[in-house]
Parts: sequence; structure tokens; C-alpha cells
Amino acid sequence: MNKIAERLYNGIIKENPTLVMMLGMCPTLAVTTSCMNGLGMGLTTTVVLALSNTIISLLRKIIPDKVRVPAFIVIVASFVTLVQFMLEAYLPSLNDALGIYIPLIVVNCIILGRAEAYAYKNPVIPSLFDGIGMGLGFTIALGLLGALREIIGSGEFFGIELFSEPVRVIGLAPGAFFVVAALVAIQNKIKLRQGKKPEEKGCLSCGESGHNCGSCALGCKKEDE
Amino acid sequence: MADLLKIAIGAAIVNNVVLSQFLGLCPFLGVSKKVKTAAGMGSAVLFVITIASLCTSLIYTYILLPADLTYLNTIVFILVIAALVQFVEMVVKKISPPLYQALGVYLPLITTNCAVLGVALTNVQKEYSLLTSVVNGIGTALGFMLAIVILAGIREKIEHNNIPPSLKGMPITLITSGLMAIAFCGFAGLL
Amino acid sequence: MNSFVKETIKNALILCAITLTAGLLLGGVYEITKEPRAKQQEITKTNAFKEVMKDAASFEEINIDPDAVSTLLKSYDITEKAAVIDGCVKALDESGNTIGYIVSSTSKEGYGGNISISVGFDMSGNITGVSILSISETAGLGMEAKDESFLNQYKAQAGTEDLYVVNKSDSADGINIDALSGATITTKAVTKAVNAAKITDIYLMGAEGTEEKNNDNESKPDENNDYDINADTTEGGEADE
Repeated sequence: MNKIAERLYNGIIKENPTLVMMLGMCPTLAVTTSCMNGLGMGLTTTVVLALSNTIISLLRKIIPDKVRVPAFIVIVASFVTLVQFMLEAYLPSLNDALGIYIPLIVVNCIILGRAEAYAYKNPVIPSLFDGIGMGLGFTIALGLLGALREIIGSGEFFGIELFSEPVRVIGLAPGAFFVVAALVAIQNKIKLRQGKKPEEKGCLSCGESGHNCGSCALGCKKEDE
Repeated sequence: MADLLKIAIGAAIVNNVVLSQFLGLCPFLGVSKKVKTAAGMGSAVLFVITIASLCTSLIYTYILLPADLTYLNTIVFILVIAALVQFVEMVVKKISPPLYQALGVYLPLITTNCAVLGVALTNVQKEYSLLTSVVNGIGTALGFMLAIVILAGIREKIEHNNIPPSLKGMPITLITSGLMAIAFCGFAGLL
Repeated sequence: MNSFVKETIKNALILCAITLTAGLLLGGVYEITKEPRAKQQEITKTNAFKEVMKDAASFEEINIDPDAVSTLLKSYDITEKAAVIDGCVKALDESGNTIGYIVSSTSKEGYGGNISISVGFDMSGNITGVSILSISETAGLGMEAKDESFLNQYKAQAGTEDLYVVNKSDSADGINIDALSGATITTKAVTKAVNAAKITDIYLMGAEGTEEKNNDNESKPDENNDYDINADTTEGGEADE
């Protein structure tokens, strides 16, 4: 029980994949034009993450170490396709809104990252809740970003008009960069005030150090071999 | 011919893969500290995307479509791309060591670059023919290269500036990318 | 070496087994969700049509001859590069009578690319509604084309075969549409698509008219292959005139 709570806390707050670890930046920037889209993307990813973590953990003794990466990719891609069928059948409006970013969940760093870093080494139940925790952390972050961009960029929140002169650029592509930049800057500010040195993490530092970023790390590791 | 040119320009500039579609952000933000490495990454992506668009388009038209298995495209494409990157790495290593020296480091990083899978899926979604798919792939990759080299150029200059400590590193890079995205918005009416 | 080969084969077999299981599983789910997905697509389509023609109960696809339509559009100075017709449906009421047509068209001259719309026409050629199916214009400028007050301009111009023009107060040129501020290109593109749809509708009604005559003379509704518009009329339910 304790383990479950610890995993959820870890995913949502301590190692929040988006806000703390800076993973999966592509969907984070692309689909957060509204709160609803952000939450939809987050929950879809959560489902894929929880399912793939469970299966990978179940098969962790069967999957040979050498072919683990292709095996992970097959498992993740299957679940993504499965979820896509479900969305097409029961939530077509969300499917239309997220478009190509649904199949692109396959290459989301968070999922391959968790498979490599946690599910492949741990038992089923903690892996499942690790997936749920990380997914919810991602969902909350995307919902928050989406809400911010929706309110500032279009002056609305879930269709309710708040003010009439919105800052349109925040809702457009450039605004995504600005909002994320502001969030990172605020974090750095807090860290500096606490006397810590801000460090670059996740995707944003991959290519140089390579640690933490799941998929990039896979690449970097191959390079070492 | 004019249509192909239009698709290439559209993919490279108007709908820039990084700045307006947000694909391939990891390498864009991660490998853009120096112009030289950025150019290396850009060429590697150009290389892989071109071959990947060709292969995925071939597989889609001649295998998936006739067999009525188009719903498997995500899983097939990602496997093809992963295998392709490995294969390209081996071939380049054998045939042209200097090229491998230049691109080798970046090749493994590309497998999970979502721009590659993104292009393959867009080609299918828009029902592009084989030739159009390749042209779209090349255009997209050139757009990626353009964006990452420009960003690296700006970052090299920013290094020498006095930036507020909390904006150092990633925030200022993101703001730079945002400003670049605004500039690229200006191309919207080009086509 | 031998153990290496053995291991490689074992790895490959396991990977194959995983892929195969995944493939089979997906195939199964694909079959199971096939029906609800098709149903959803149908609902989405019907809803889009209902938006432009509220009184309709069901819709029936009409096959049109694309060459004839594009030649016709060209005679109105609308080339294939400017706008194309994507499809037409016949709107039926609950008792199966035709109450109008819905034409979907795409303008290729939007500021941010193609703009696809659906236009509903009643039997006297009046526009019952215009809805935008896909658009990627600039937010705050061209995107305002989705606004109802803009689209309503196309409605309720009764009983005329005139086409729409943008920002021309002289009614001799056609029916005036006020451009969206800062988005004249978008307005012109949408107007072109509406015009293309209107021309097609006039053409459709003309063709249906001759067909009706034909049916009266020969009373063989099945043999209408000579017409440019091969309307699917085998189910009866002709215009209730």
C-alpha cells in the first residue's frame, strides 16, 4: 500500500515528468492550446503508460536484454494503436482534436523512459502505479499549461468568456514556447532563492549528457556499447 | 513540378516541423549549443527522414494497403524506422568512414525523433504519392536543419551576453525559439 | 560462436512472438471496434450535414461527374486550382422527400491553406446554412470566418442565381459580402467556395429537373446513365413538386 502511494506521489509531484523532469516536450507544446486538449492528451498517455508498464513488467523475465528496446517499442505501439481505435469509436471529437499526436505517443520519451528505468526492473503492481502516477503528473501539467494558454490566449475558459482583449500569440505556436519558458524560469528562480544551482534536465539536456531522457538515453547507451 | 515545389516549401518554411508543429523538439533544444553539432544533427536527420519517407511510403503502398492492414501503420512504421537507423548506421560505417565520423554520433538519437515518424504518418494521412512523400520528407528535414542551425547560431552569440540568472540556459533558449516561431509565422501567406 | 548464434535465434524468436501476439491482438480489437467506429464516422458526417440543413432527417449521396462540374466551374472563372467540389448529398425529410442539396467544397486560396466548407441549399436554391469543415487561418483574423455572424451573410438571399462578391456595394456585381476586418483573403476564399457550391447546386437542380421529365416520359427511373449527374434515384422519393 505504502509503495503505491509512494509511486503516485513520485510521479505526480517529486519527479513530475513535465514540470520537473522536462520529458515529452513535443506533445506538451503542441496540444496545450486549450485545457481540454491538454487533459485529453494527458489521460490518453496515462492509459498507454499504465498498460505498457504493466505488460513490460509482466514480461520482464522473458524479454531478452539485447532486444529489449524493439520489444518495448512493439508493446507501446500496440497499446497506442489500441487506444486510437477506442478513441475513434467512442471519443471521435478528442481524436480529431489531437490528430497526429495520438500515434506520436509511441515516441514520447516518458513512456520508453519509464519502461527502461522502472517497469523493466520492478514487479507488476508498483509498475502499474508508477505508470498511473507519471501519467497523472503529465496530465496535470498539460492541463495547467492548456488552461494558462486558453485563458491568456483566447480570453476564455471552457467556453466562458473572461475578458475581451486576449493576447492571441499565447494561443499560437510561439506562445507555447513562451509559457514553458516562463514556467522553467519560475522554477529556476525558486531554486536560486533556495541556494541551489538550476540544472538542465531531461530532453532539454539530451545530446550532451543524455541521462534521464528515456528515449535519448536509449540512444546514448547504444553509443556507449 | 510546381506542386512539388509548393509542398517542399510548405514543409520547410510555412509549416516548419519544429516551430509550428513541435516535432523533434528534443534534439532541437538539446543539440543546438554549437552551430557545428547542430549542422551535423541536421544532416543526419535529413539523411534518415529522406530514406524513411521512401521506405514507409513503399511499404504502405505495396504491402499495407493491398493487404488491408493500414491500421497497423504506426507499429510498422516505428519498427521500420528503428531498423532503418541501425542499418544506415552499419552501412555508413562500412562505406564512408568520414561520413560516419560526421553523422555517427547523431544516428542513434534519431530513432525516437518524433519528426521522422511524424513525416511518415503525415504522408499517409495526406495520401501523398511516393515521389511527393519523398519531397515532403526532404522539405521537412530541410526545415528542421534550418531551424536548428539558426537557433544554434543565436545561442552561440547569447553565451556572451549578460542574462538574468533564472533565465540562463533553457528559458532563454525557449524564448529564442518562440521569437523564431513568430518570425516563421510571417511566412504563412507565402503559398 | 555457437552459443552466440543460439542466443541470437532465441532473441529473434521471442521478439517475433511478442510482435505476432501484438499483431493478432490488434487485429482482434480492430474487428471488434470496426462497427462502432464506422457508426461514429457516420454520425459525425450526418451532424455536419444537419448543421447546414436542420430540417433534414436523412441524407443520400449523389454521384456527380467531376469533369462536367469542373468544366462548369471554369466557365465561371473558378479553376481547379482555386476551388473544387468534394461531394454532394441529397437531403431527405422523414417521409423520404427531397428537401434540398448539400454541397461540400474546398477553396485552395485561403491564407493558411485549404478551407473546406459544406453549404446547404433548399429546393428553391436558397442557402440554408454554411459550415466550415476545416480551416487553418490566423487566430483572431481569418479564424473569425467560423463566426456565425459572418457565415449568416450567405444565408437568406432568396430566389436569385447571383453569385457572391466581396466588398462591392454595387448590387449589379452580385450579392455583397462584407469582408472580415484584416482577412480579405480568407473572406474571398470562403466566398469562392460558396460560389462553387452554388453553381453546382444550380446545376444539380437543373439535372434533376430534366431527369424528372425523363421519368415522366419513360417511367424508368433506373436508366438515367446518360446524364452528367448520375443521381441515385432508384429509391424513389423524387422532388415533391
